[in-house]
Amino acid sequence: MLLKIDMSSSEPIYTQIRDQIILGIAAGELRLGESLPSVRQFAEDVGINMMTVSKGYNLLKEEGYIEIDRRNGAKVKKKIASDPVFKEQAQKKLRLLLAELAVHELTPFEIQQIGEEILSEFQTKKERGE
Amino acid sequence: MNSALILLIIFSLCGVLFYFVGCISAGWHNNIILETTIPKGEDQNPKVKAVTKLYKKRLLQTHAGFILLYLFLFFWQNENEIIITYLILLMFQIMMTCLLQIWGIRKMHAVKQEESWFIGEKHEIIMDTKLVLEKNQDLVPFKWLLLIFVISLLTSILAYFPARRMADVIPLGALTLLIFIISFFTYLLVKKMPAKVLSEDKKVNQYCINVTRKTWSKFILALDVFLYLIILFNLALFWGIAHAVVLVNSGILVLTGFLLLYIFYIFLKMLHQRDTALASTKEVFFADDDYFWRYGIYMNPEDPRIMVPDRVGMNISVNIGRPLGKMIMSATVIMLFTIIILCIIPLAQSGNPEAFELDLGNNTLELNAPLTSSTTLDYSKIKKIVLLDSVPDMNMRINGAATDSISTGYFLNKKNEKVKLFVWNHSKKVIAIYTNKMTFYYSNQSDMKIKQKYQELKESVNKKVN
Repeated sequence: MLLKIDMSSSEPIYTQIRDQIILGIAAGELRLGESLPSVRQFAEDVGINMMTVSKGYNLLKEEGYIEIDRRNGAKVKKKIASDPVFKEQAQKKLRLLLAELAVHELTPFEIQQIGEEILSEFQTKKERGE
Repeated sequence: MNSALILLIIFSLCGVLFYFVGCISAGWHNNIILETTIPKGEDQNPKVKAVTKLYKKRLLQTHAGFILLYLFLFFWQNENEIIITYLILLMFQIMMTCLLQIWGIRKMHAVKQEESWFIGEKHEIIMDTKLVLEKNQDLVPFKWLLLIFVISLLTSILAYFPARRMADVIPLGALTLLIFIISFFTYLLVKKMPAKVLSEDKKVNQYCINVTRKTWSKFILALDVFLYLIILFNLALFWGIAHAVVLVNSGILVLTGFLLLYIFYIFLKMLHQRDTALASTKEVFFADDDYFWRYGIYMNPEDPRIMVPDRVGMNISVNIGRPLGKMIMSATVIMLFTIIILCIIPLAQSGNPEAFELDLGNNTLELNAPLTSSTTLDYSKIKKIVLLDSVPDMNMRINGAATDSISTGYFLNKKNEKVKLFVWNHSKKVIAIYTNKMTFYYSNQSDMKIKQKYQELKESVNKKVN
């Protein structure tokens, strides 16, 4: 997948890495079980600190998206399942996001439409990728 | 053919080479002309075309001027003076080429500002996770470099057998090791070169990176094979295959020619393959980082990378915005100019007959001449001293210098014996000093002085023996 790291952004680079990899998995740009560059390779190619990449990767590992092996490097997990803890955390995040949308006076229909559009975009990309 | 003429042809060809290499940056590669990012299709803009045309014209005028100067050197007829003047002019030619490039970049940047072509303000780095993993799939395997190294090492060991001396193996072995270390680091640099994402088409990106790595590793391999053959030619000297002198020398010359042609061919082919592949894609990625390339070299203190891919992604450049980058760049420039100056000093000395010295001490004598090491001889080791009218004919030079004016360093004589010369060619008298191991020949600019030295030397040796 193509990762775009914005060096001038106020958003930390490690969160940019984390977010884009999750988006890549959802859209099928990164397949389950697909290899990722090692922390060193990643840092050398983009020209960022190894600690930054490591921070992003560790976050993804903790959240259950990737696995890091000393020999085989980093890989997207073969199965990413949702457990009750994840569901609870996701619900919390979604609640805040929906609150923001509601405050900005978006109707439930509009919110539903945005959600459906994003999900169908993931689906289309996935199908195209396959 | 006159050797001065051969030199001038080589220098002029180098000038032509400078021109063609300079023209590469004025071409349209990956949306960049003269280190300036231009929107797709705008390469046909009259203002852009005018700048590239003017830049190429100035480049042609500059290098044609230098070539003319080199041709004027032909009337000097003195090889040393020709080489010294060429080396000085070469420094100016390098500086002029750099200044001309900066001038071209500024002109093109002015066009960009006039036309308000600001492509983007984001400093974004694009990375393809798969490309990073597979960037070296077409790199020539390292085992080939290792194989050439082992063969070179075994070949240099062969130098031991003719005289059964380890001292003969050391120079060739050291050269082999040095070549291997240099090629190993170059290989590592190519291997670590970041995988630049050039377009939205992943297949094209993979193709471009494969072509680049393949070409670079082929280049390293070709250079290694070339240097191995040079070692092989040198070995011919140790085995005393001296009747093949002309063959060996012309072999090296032809080989160098072939190597240069081959290097040019593979790099131009790579550029063409990449440009053709990129032309077929819908969208080409580029970062609007022209500001950092305003001197034709990357300068961005914010970017932690020391080695960065160049604008086109086929080469590697140093980030002189970083302290280490500054150090690497200054060291390279200083090294280049030091090499040129170090070549000039002995060459200038070699034109000076005063530099040929024979110093007589109490127990030893010391011989000195330009472009070779000094020799100290114990009087007791001297078997015979003879005053000759000329230096006997030699089969070939092993090291040192052989020009119209001087013959210094180690040579093989007609019997294929190693001798050492400290000779000013225009003199009519030569002192031959015979020892058990080797014969030495000495002369200087004045026949009178040579005769005087000969008498003094004879007296010193006789005194010591008696």
